[in-house]
Amino acid sequence: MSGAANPVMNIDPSLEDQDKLAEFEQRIADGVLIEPGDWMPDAYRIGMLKMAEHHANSEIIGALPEGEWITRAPSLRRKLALTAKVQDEVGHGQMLYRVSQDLGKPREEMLRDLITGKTKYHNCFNYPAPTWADIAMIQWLIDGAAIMNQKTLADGAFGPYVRTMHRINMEEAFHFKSGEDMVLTLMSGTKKQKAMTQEAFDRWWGPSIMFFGPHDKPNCEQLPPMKWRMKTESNDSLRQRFLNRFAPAALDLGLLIHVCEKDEEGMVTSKKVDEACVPDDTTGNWGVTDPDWDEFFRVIRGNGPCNAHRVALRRFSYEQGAWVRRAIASGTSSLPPAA
Amino acid sequence: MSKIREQGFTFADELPPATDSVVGHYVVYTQKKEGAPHRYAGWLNAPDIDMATQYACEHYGQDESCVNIWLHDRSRMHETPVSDTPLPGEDAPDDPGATAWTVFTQKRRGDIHVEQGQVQLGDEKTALSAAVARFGQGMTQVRIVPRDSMASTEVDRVIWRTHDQGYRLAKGYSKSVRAKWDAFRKTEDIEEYRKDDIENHF
Ligand SMILES: [Fe+2]
Ligand SMILES: [Fe+2]
Repeated sequence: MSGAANPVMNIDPSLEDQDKLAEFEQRIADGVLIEPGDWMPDAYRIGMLKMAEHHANSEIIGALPEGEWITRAPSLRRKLALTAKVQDEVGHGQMLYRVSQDLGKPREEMLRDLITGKTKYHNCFNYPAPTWADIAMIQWLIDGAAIMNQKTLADGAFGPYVRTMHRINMEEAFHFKSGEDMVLTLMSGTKKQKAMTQEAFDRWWGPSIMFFGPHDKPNCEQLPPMKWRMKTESNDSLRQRFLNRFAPAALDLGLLIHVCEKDEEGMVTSKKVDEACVPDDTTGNWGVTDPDWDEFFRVIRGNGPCNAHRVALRRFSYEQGAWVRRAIASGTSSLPPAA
Repeated sequence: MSKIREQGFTFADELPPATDSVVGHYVVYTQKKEGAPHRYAGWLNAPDIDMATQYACEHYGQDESCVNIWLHDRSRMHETPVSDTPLPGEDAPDDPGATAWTVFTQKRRGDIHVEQGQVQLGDEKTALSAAVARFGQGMTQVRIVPRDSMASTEVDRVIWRTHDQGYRLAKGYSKSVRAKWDAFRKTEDIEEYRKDDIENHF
C-alpha cells in the first residue's frame, strides 16, 4: 500500500527573493519542470522535503500490516505476490528517502524522527487488518486511491519526485490489480467469504474516503502546494473521482456501503446503509456521507487504533538492525568474526 | 502473527547511535533487453559498491524484467547544468589511451537519463564537452561517468528470475480480473472503471 498524502504545510513565500520567485512561478506556470540544480524558493525545497519524507514514511509503515499477513496468505501464489508487494513498498520508501536526502535531510534523521513520533505517515495505516479480506481491501481501495493520487503527483513539477512517481506507479499498478483479483475472488466465493469481505470493506471504506485528506480551502489552487505544482489536483476533486470509480464497482460486486461507528480498536460496532451514496441526477457524481473529521485529526495526533503498535514495530526493527549498521560502520561487514 | 509481534515491545531508553555517514549514494541503470540502452532506474544507499550491486539486483532488478544492471557512486558523474537552450559543446577526437566515459542524456526536464554511447578523452571537461557535441543535440542534460568506476552485474547473471513471475506484474492479473468482473458488471461499466488504470502497465 502506499500513499502520498497531504501533510499539513504552512508555507510562507514572503521571505523569498521576490524577483526570483516571480521567475520561478512563471516557469512553473509554463509547465517547466524543476531540476535540483535550478533555483527554487526555500519554502519549495522544504515543502517538497516534507511531502517526500511523509510519503516515504507512509511506504515503510504501510508495509507493516501487510507484512504480518505473508505467513498466513491462503495460497503459494498469493504469498509470493504479497511478499513482492511488501518488498515493493519498502523499495518505494527507499527511493523517496533518497529524494528527501537530496532536499537536505539525512536519512538516519528521517528514520529516527519517524520512530520518535516527530514526523508522521499516512493516517490510513493506523487501522487494523484482522482478516485476509482486509489485505484484499487495502490493495484494492488504498492502493487504488494511492494510484489515483500518485498519477496526479507524476504530473508535478519537481523532476526527481516525478521520476520516482513514474517508477512507483508501475508497481502500484500490480498492487492494485492483485487486490482487485483478491476482492473479485472473495466476492465470487462462499457466503462466509462474502461476509468477511463485507466486514473488511466496512473497516476500509471510511479510511479510503479520508485518504485524500480534509476538504480543501476555497482558494487552494492559488496556494503554494498547487500553485507550485507540488500537487496538481485538490483533495476533494480526487475524492470525487475515487467515489465515482469505487462506489458503483463495490455495489455491483454485491457489497453494501455503510456509515460505520467504530470502537477504539477500529472494529465496527454499528452500521447503517449510507443513503447519501448515490449518483447525482444532473452531474452523475456519487455522494457520500462526510466522514468524521474529528476522528481523522485524532488519528493524526497519534490516537488511532494502531498508531502505537505500528511505530513500536518500526522502532523494534530499527533497534534490532543496529548491529548490522554497526558492522557496516566499522568496515568489517565482509570479514569473518575474529578467532 | 509471529510470536515476537504479538508480545509487547520493550525498548532501550535511547536509540542506537546514528550511522548515516557510512552510507554511500549509488545511481542505478537497468537494461531491459540485450543491446538496448541502459536507462536510469533509481538510486540507493549502500555501504560499498558490491553491496549496492546486490541491492540493485533485488530492488530494481525485480521491478521488471531486465538483463543487466549498471551502477556508480554518484560522486563519480559529471553533468552539464540542465538547460532550456541548446547545449554548447566542442568535439575532440577520441584518444584510445585515455579514460572511457559512458554518456547518458536527458531529453526533457523530468525525464530519466538514457545511455547514448561513449567518449574517450583525458579529463572530464573535454570529455563532457565532446559528449555534448556528439550526443547533446536537443537534450536538456548530458551526464558522463568514467567507465572504470561503474559496476556491472556479471555476464549471464540471471537477474529477473526465470520462473513465472506474473504474480508481481499488473499484467499477470489482467485476464483473470476481467473475466471475474464480467460475471458482475455490464461491459460499459467495466470500461468506465478501467479508465483510471495506468494503461501502459496492463
Ligand atoms: Fe502499493
Ligand atoms: Fe507504494
